[in-house]
Amino acid sequence: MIAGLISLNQLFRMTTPFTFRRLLPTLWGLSLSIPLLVLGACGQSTTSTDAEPTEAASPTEAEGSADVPRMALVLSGSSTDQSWDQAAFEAGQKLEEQGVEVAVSEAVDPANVAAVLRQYAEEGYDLVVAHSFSYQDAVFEVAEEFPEVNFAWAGGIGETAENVADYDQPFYQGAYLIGLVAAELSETGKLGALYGYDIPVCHAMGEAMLAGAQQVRPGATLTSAAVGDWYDVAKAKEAALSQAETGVDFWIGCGQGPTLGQIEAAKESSGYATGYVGDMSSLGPEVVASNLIWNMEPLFQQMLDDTAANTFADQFYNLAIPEGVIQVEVPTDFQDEVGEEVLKSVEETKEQIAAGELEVPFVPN
Amino acid sequence: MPWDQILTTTFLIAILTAGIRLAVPVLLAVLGEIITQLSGVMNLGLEGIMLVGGLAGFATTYALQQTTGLTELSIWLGLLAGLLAGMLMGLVMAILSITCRTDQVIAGITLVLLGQSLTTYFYREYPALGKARVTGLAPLPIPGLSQIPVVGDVLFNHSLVVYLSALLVMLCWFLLYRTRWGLQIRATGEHPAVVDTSGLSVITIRYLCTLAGSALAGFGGAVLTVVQLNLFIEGVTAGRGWIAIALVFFSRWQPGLALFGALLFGIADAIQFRIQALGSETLPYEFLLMLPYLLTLLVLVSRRIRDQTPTALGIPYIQGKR
Repeated sequence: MIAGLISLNQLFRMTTPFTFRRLLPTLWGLSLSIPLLVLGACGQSTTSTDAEPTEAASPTEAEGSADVPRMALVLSGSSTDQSWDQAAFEAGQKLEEQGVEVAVSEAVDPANVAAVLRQYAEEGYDLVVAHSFSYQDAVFEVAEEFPEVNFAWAGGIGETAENVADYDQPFYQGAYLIGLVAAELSETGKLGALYGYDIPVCHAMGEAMLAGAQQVRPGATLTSAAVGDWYDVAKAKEAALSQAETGVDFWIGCGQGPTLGQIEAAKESSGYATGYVGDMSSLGPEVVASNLIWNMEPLFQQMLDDTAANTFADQFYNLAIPEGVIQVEVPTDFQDEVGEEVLKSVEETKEQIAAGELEVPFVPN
Repeated sequence: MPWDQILTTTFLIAILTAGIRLAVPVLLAVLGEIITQLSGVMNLGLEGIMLVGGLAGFATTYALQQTTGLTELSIWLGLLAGLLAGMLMGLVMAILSITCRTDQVIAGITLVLLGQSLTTYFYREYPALGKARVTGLAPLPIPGLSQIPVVGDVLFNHSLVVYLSALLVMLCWFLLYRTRWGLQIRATGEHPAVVDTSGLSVITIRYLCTLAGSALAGFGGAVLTVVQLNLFIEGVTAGRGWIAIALVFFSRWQPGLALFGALLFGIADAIQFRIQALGSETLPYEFLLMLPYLLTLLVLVSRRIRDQTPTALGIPYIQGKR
């Protein structure tokens, strides 16, 4: 009975869109993994290797070039999300141009990720990046089985191991710079922050934006709200509109739903919105006044360097503005409105942060 | 608690209008499900149907607005597409549950999974969908009525779909409880054998009700994406289909109570966002988030709900079987 349920569940997962594209291998995997799963459910610990890496290396390549670094990237969403996953995907593409061999798996559910990680580890990748907080358990489990493979996960909480690195998401540093733009554009001086949930990464973003704005406009205030869902755009939009009623006219969002919600609300209430972890100008050319960019290439490069130099153990990567990982960009359409002076001060502040002269306050809760 | 800011008419107006906006997509799905369930079919697939309706409606509106430039007409054709897509999903449900007589709970959940994976597939296969935005429907203040203080702002300053939804509540109530058709539908859910012996086709009635119910759910999904958000993303309905099912039981199959229930959920959300916006220390917003679910639970444990459940709900009809 349990075996039946699990294989049914597996069956459903395997027919979900991404593997759909490659229907034939999926069918092969299906015919293999169902008996395996039935066996597994009967009490033996078999590993199912049902995942299809999108760009798995051909065997010859794998054997032939020992010095080419090989990196695998596992995403929980889609590489075209204009945000979190796309940032990682594009960094992977840039590394590929520089000769790194990069394999990517998209839309991997946390429930299935262990199998995907295991497969990459078995194929001998040097570095496997698990790009989601919710991959935590699987990463540490698989990392123990493959001590010679290095893993990295998007924890941001400093949870590491001998061959597991954690990498932070210091978006708050960019939010500080956005605060300078907000102070200039906002008419009321009331800024809004929308979080999926009130977690440290998000909370620190809102507070840092306020801190930045208060540098030039001491009277600026922040209104924040937790939507209670990472993907519910309708609720996020309503939350932003309710903030607009109290005078808020400049937003930052944390999470997909909140970000899209604030952009739509800004359109409706003639306010300003912020792109989150990617260039979102195209989603609201008339309202997205700045974009918080996560350039992950130096981060991944650092990981590969550490892997090569054997200095990867227990690393907690915290690459931000100084390393060019966190960037803030004002779309060309908004540069006149923001004004040269503010753009200059954003640039100067950025340099101050990079030089260590200015420390952006981190307020996690 | 900043009571002085809460006990004001502007605050009240804001809460009620936002509550109505949040309620409409759910309400449409609830009305549809009431029709379906009264005929004896339990369609748990609303979440999937709303997603498919939302995507079909959005994609159609976007395509038409890009090619023809007729904003309004494209929206209405898009909403129609959402409605038809919902109906198509309903057809799957009807074939599974009425003709094949599969377990309706399983069929319904399959429909949810189908809707989720179908929409996810298209969303990820065509990245342009995620970047596309449509032009929504402008509010249509009703001349005269919208000038009434407070009431005018709350009730008569919405887009046309909001008025349409209110009309549908009345229409559903009238059709189900005041016409011969309604009696036939309710009899089918209560005692299909009686309907059968009186010369009516149980199968036909159930098919029609499932299709009509799913059409309304698909329409609700399209209203959410086309009119309210102007965008579509993966999982955009975020559980509204499930809330709709809870509300059917909450409403005890009464369209009027369904309106009340949907508004209750909508207004509770609207209030909690504003409490967060005003920054309350004394009343945690989580409490307000929980409140509608708590009320639904209370309704579900009451005995009256059992008396009012259609007797044949969820039971496939097999002619001649006693």
